[in-house]
Amino acid sequence: MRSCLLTLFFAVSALHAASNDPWPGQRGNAQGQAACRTDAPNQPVGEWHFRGKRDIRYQQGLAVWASPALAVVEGKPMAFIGGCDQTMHALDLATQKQAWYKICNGIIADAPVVGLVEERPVVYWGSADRTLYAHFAETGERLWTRELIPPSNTLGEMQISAPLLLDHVLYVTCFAYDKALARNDQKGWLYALDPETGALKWKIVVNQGPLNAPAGCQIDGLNYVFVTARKGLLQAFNVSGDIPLRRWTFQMPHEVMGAPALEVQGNPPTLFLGSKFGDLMAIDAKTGVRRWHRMTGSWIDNNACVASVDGRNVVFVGSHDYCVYALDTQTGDVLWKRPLGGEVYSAPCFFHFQKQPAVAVASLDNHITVINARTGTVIASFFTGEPVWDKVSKGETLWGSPVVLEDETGASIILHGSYSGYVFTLPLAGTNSLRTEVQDTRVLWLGLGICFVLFTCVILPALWFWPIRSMQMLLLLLAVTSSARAGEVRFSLTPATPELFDTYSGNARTPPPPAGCLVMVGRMDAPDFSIDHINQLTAVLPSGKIIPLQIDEKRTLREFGKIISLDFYITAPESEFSGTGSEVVLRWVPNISADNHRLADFSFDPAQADRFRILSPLPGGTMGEREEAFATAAIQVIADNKAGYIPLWYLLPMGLIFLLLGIQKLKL
Amino acid sequence: MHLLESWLSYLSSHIKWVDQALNGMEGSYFELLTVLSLALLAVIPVVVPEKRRQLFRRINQIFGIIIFVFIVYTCLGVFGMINNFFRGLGEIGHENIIALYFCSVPATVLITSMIFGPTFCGWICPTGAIQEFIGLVCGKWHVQRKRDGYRFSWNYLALTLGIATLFLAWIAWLSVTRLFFVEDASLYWTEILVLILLLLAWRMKEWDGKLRRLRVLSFWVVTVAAFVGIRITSPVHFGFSKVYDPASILATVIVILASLAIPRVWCRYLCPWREALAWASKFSVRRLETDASKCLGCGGCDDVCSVDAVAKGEINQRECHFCMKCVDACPHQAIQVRDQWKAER
Repeated sequence: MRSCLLTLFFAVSALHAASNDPWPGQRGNAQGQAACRTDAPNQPVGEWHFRGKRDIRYQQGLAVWASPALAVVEGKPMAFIGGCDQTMHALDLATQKQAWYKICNGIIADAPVVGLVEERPVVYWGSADRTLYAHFAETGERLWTRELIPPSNTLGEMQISAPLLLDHVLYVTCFAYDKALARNDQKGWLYALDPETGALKWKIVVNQGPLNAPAGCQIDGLNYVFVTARKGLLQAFNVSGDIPLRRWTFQMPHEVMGAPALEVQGNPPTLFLGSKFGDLMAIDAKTGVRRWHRMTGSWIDNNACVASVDGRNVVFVGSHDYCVYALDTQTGDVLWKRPLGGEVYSAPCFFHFQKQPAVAVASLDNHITVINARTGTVIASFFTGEPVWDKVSKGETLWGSPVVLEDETGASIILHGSYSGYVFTLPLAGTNSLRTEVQDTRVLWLGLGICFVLFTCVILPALWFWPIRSMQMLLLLLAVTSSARAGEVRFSLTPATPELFDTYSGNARTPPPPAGCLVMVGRMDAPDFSIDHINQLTAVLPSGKIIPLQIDEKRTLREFGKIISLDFYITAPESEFSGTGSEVVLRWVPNISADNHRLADFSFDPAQADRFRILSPLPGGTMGEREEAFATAAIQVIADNKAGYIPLWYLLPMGLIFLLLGIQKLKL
Repeated sequence: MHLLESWLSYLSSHIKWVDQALNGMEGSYFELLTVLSLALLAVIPVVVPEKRRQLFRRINQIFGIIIFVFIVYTCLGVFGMINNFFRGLGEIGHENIIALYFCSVPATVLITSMIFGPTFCGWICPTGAIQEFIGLVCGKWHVQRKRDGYRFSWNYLALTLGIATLFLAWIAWLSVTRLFFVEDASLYWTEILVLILLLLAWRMKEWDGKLRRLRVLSFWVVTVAAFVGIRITSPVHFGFSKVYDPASILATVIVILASLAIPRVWCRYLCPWREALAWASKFSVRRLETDASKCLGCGGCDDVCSVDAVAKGEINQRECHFCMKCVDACPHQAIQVRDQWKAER
């Protein structure tokens, strides 16, 4: 009886600790269910395909989008998602608009979390620019930013995991390869920060390599944080005191990409963690002793998910053997196993759809599949587009996994940042354009019937009577006309927002202007811009003076000879900004590269801050007048049409081939 | 059936012997091994000794299956190569490495066919090789049917009806156990293959030549689809791409069984890539030619040709797979490989 009461007490306390913040961990709650439950929204959430800044940005083998976080902010369902575009997007799912965005100086490779500061939801995330960000969820207003590791000439790009909010402390792991250090002297850090101020409570080196996102819970009234290293070492820390105490370690048999999922109802709780060896481990969270382990057919490279189905606790996990597994948390017995069309790379999310328990996973056959959690049968499937890479690469990073928003009416909405470049909001009920199109048996048989009629009644007589060359020419004509897509020049310019400028000044990158000069900072998206073209950009100031654009090469995002994003500076005397014109114009002018020059690196002297047009925000997070003026400054891009790449030129040789083929067929 | 599905998914997920694509070029997933293997396997027909040519051809085909089905991730599927070729052409100037990745395989196959003849079909193609190996089971029966002028045969009809029944039953099972996607179009090609088999039970002699024109139609359908961005999955898709695609598995099984009834039936009537190579090989410097003065019309070459490209010593260059079985089988050396690069004696 006593043990039952203790179990109940600790379970309730653990749940209570996890329930304050809207989205406290990488996959929502400690169980990794990745579901946000809310009251019925005033406005129904519809299907939405969001593509960020219109064009895809990615690095091969990395996530285009990280996993999203969900929260209800001021009654509005909102999603927060970052990715390789170095931007955190806040999406209002009801109005289908981008509420705000924040540009960082590095990719955002893992999910954000959402916590509460003075009852206001705050989004926390880490970026490869070595910085942890905290912004208010409804407005995007900055609460604080914290540079975790100071820059050095030998430091590589940083990997910052999804943070963890546990008992009003923010935990985050990070790793940056330092080429000045030997391989076994590298440092993977675990940080503890104050979520309200960003003040550092403590930090500790926990491994010599990359680390995954932390997970945490309360055990016997003490706060525990669990950190897995990429090399498979799982460590548990008691973080209740002023300094963290390592409680136990557990070595997994192979690389681990995910964070542990917790069964918090037990006393002590159980951790579930998969590895690239293909095994799923159940580990006592208090002692680090293995309870059971089961093998799947191939890698497990993401988180598991724990949920209660019909009173029984079940752990769900996806494997690269194409299957989703449901196992009993107590015994490890496989309750069901569902083969899908490709490697299951995502973590499952658990929710209820039409009062039935369900899990949703993403797999490498480019589909999200919704599975009945009770039986393992497929409920629905959605096509989420093909990867933007030339070849699927896997196991190199933690790719984005779907999350679910569910309301009291039983409507469930899946949100997923796909490797096709889109963020999909997919209501499960009703019609959906991404639902796999042929899912009705009748449609399949109808298709086969049409094919039969077409073959027997049209194609066979045509083969018997008609000369084949006429069919060829018809199809040739169809092929050429159907490919006639117009080329276009695509430019867009992001006005230099206070956030962007703040990012620059905050990271000591802005160049010191000469006396009496101003500096203007901007970022341009130029998806079809060749590297050869960037020397040909100039700026026309309001006074009419044409000056070369100063380009920060280190911030120029490139992909295979193409510029994706361009950061630039315009440095000019203050008088040049107050001419008759009201705009600064960027102009692409061919063959004018002689006057241009590039600035390879900059340094920033805070003492010269008053000579900048905009500066860092004033205390309290409010913007100054000059910042607002800068934020609203109109910037326009004039592009010569010839600058655009015309993708149809390849039709010329193809056309010649078709012409030769046609001539041969017609024996002209 | 559940066990069968589990076994098929296991087969699909373990079809590749390596976990990831073999990276041949830094920063990309361009597999240099694919192009090198293709080029090497295409050169072998030129350099092998004539005495053991067919043995080397079999070894070449086995290597083709091992490399392209079990090792590399680059798609060598008959539809995939056309789709990828157009996608690669569209990436030139944008993403040149991606363009190289997508264009390298079809370009290598086309170029080697233009130089060495359509040796890809007869010496490398895994789809063709599997059909040929399966067809060996009924080799004598095929020869007898050919000698009889493809008369109606109850055995053939029974085999064909069995294949059609299996196709329909499998479709019925699949239709209630999984969701079908639009790209599962390989089922329609398979259906047409089954219809062709049924049609050829009665009138093969009349229809054989006409049905070969379907390759042209097949080529253009896949090409137009590639242009407009519609993805059509190849019937042998699962063998090249490590995806559990039950529709593709069904199509592959039907193609294999159909090759018991008619040797290399897919290559004969439906393969779009075969049509492209027939065109490319027109420019080849190597071709088979018959010396009419030596040919006695014994029909030995007819018996060995699995695609009926030879009739009484007369070679149909458009249909020839350049396997050179007729060259090796001719007792009078009437058929020879003419290499225009070599100096005339």
